[in-house]
Amino acid sequence: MARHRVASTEDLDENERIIVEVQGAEIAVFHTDGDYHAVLNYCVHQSGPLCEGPLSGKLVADPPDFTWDYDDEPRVVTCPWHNWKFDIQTGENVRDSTYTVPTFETEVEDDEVYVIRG
Amino acid sequence: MSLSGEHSLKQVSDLDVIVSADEHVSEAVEDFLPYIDEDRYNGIKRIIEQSGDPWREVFSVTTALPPFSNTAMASNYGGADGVMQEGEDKLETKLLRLDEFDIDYGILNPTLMVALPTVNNRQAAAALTQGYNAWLYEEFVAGSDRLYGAIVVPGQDPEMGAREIRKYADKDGIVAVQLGATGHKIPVSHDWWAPVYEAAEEAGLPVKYHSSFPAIGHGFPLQHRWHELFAQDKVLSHPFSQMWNVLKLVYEGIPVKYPDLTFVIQESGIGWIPYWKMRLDRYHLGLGSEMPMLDKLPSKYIDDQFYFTTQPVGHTDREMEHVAELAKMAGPQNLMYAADIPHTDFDTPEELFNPIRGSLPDDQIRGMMGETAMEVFDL
Repeated sequence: MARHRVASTEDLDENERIIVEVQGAEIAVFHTDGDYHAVLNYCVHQSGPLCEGPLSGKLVADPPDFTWDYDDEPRVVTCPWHNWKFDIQTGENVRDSTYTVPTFETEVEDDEVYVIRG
Repeated sequence: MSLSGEHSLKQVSDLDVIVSADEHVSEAVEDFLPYIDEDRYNGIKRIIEQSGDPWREVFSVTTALPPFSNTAMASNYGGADGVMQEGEDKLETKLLRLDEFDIDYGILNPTLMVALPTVNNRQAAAALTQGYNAWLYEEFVAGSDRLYGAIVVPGQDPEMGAREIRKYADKDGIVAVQLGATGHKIPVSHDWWAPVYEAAEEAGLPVKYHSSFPAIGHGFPLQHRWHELFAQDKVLSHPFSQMWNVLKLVYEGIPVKYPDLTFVIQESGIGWIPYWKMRLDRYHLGLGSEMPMLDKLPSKYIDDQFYFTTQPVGHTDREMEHVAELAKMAGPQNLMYAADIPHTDFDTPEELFNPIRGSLPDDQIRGMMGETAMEVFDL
């Protein structure tokens, strides 16, 4: 597996992202909760630029009352084309986990952020 | 019993069992008026008795034109040419009609009482419900091992409905709860209905939603206001009702709140089902953040907890394979044949069987024609 530098840590503030090309693929790297999450900038729905959409938390509802609660952990990216939502840590669609987008491992070394790919 | 994947069924007589999951009695108010409890409903019973036209004065039914005008049903649209009145014994007549089409068992629904949501007065709705349920049980269900009943519950008084469910739940032959599907003042997904759902789940009885053209004025008043034909009321009322009910039930998470409950959708055919499942999924994937209680696609909830009775299958202009394709898309395991006798849009068993034989495997056809209903209603 090859390691590809995508940014310096100082270039990527908390809750920001950078979209880079790695071996011909557009990959977004999100900086959230002190960690870095790499996701293919490609929505499996209709090939939209998934990672150009907003990053947010999500509503949850648990029994017995199923009252809506907002989980503010910013790990849901919403495709700007049709609002499909994916978890940036798992790549799974938050409404149907059988839809997933590729995710990639990341590393930080000497204040440089790397994506591991291919 | 055939093996899965086999295509050996040639004719209806090859089936072991045929169940009509939607059969009707043709009750008039005067039929079950004597069964309304004199002590509990003394006052409202007298008012109902005084009505010369309960269809409009107790129920509040309007149609665009006289229903079924210029046909035998114009004078009695509970049953063509008075079929339910032909024999002295109505139970016997009902059984003869099943025999005529080689149907083994029937799950009974009302005719007039599917318009129960149009009753404005809460006491009247409760009294009619109590009287109808008692009449149905005594006159049809208790005396037959081929006819099964559904307890009607009034949306006007869900607590009363829950009491009715508990009263009848353990009686032989009672196999479901009938909520009605058209024209409720409060949608069937609302917490208002919780007593009914809790009682049905506790009793292990499926809840059924039978749509109703007489209630269209309440369910879709704007459309009804502009209908110039009775036929427009008839065509629109059923699928519109069921699309709305399924939308509300699934998107608002009723199958999640009541995971042991089974939902049965009746009288709208099968063509709309694949369209609606695809549409519900499509907008769930885009707008599902509004539905955080759902943890799978709407179509999966439908596959797991919903059943649909097939009548009226619909006219295919001789492209019979379309019916088979629609059944495949709707989910054959979730479809149950229904005849809808004695109404004039009834389906003989062949209406469903002939288009699907050879196209679907035997086990799915056997399921659709009766075996699934045997399981769903625990016959």
